[in-house]
Amino acid sequence: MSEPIQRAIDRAVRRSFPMATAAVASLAGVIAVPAPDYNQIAPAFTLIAVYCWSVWRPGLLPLPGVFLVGLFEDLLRGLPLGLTALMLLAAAGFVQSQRGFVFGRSFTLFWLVFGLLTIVWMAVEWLAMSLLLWQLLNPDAAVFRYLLTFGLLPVGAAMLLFVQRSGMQNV
Amino acid sequence: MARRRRGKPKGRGHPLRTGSLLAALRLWTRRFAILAMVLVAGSLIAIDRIESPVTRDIRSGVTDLFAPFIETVSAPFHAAAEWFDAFESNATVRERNAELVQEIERLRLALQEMPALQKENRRLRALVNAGRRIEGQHLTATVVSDTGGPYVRSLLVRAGSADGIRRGMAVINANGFIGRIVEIGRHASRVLLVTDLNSRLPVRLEASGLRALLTGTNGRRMQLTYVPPNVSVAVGALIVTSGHGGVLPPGIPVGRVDSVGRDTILVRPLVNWNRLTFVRIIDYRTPGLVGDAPDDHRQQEVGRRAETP
Repeated sequence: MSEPIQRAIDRAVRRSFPMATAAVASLAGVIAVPAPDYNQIAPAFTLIAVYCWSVWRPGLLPLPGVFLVGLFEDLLRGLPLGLTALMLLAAAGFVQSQRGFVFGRSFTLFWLVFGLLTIVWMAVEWLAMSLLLWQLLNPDAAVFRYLLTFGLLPVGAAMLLFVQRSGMQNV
Repeated sequence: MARRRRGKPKGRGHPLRTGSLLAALRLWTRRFAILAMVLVAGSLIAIDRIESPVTRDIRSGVTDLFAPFIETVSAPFHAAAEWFDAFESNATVRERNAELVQEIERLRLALQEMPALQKENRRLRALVNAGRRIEGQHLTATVVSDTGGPYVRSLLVRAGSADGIRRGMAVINANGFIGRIVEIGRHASRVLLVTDLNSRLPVRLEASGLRALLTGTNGRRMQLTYVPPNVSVAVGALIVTSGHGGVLPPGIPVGRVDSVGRDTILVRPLVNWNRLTFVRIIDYRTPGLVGDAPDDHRQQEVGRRAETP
């Protein structure tokens, strides 16, 4: 294989890191952790990945790709097909259009905006599920899920930053 | 701007104009793509609500494909939990040992009585012309993951159509009823737990024989519905499957009545959801029901033979 082709493949692989990490985050959300009621409050890892890449590298996180990751998560978790896809699409679209407000600013602001986004995310998810099941659902689990997701952002962001710095410097 | 004008190639459109046209085209394409995705998502939600076989098949395919991966990644977590469990105090181990010795003694006594009871049961069934009792074929499967999040109560198990699993089969463990198979892949299936909001299970109170419907609430407890008025239900009463409809075997313990309110009766499941590693899937069908193919009877016979010691 000639060098330019190798370089092109290497570049394409590196450019796919944001999408790949978002898909891995979807899988991480369904891993069986034997802690009491963990599955009900498992953090929204995909939201963390989509938020971080939407702020740092929006060009490498195309909206159709985000949509596919959402569909993948719906299929894996047995959720209404299209719900997470729609919500992720809205979240990524919003963050990418407003990224100037967060990009290059302090991490506290980055985290705070994520906190607000996650509140909206959890509220919309609860409302949508309540409507689809036509019953007012108990939001307790969603509150704990919110706290876990919000609390885990620094860890998730550090991991993604490591990916960005180690493998995506020149792409 | 003036410099750009000077560099304008003859015979072509204005570079600024072409650029802005391209930008506008890109913007509209993006907008159209977003609108298309929103429409697709909305349609998928609607199609999924009517439980289309297409979405069910796609779901099963994806589950099937990724179940081995989830199982592999989850393994270290399970190993860690078992490792922590091993650190039980000496007193706890002694206590459990005493309990187990008692249980073995109780089971030995029950085992001694069993042949006589079986004989008596056969004789009585023959007297009332009850016909043969239908036993189900059992299959043990490992739990891959508990998926779903706050609003869906489901499990992924490592058994699928290749193992003879079909939709609607009952899933149990040593403590009692867990749920029913709702999606089947080739080597993995999804179980809708009895606590899920969409779960409806025909049950009866073991002591009184009173029939009712057990509805999931997505919470820790389930609700007993369609209980006739002016019927007293005691706290602690055992709830078992009624076998109504012939889809599930009768008599599987499901839960105990936890609280009796004015309008609601809540039932606590017998299964500990946080300690589910293995489950048993029961193939049970009453012969003669609509949709029972001859092959299914044959399969049931094979299962019965396989279970005979």
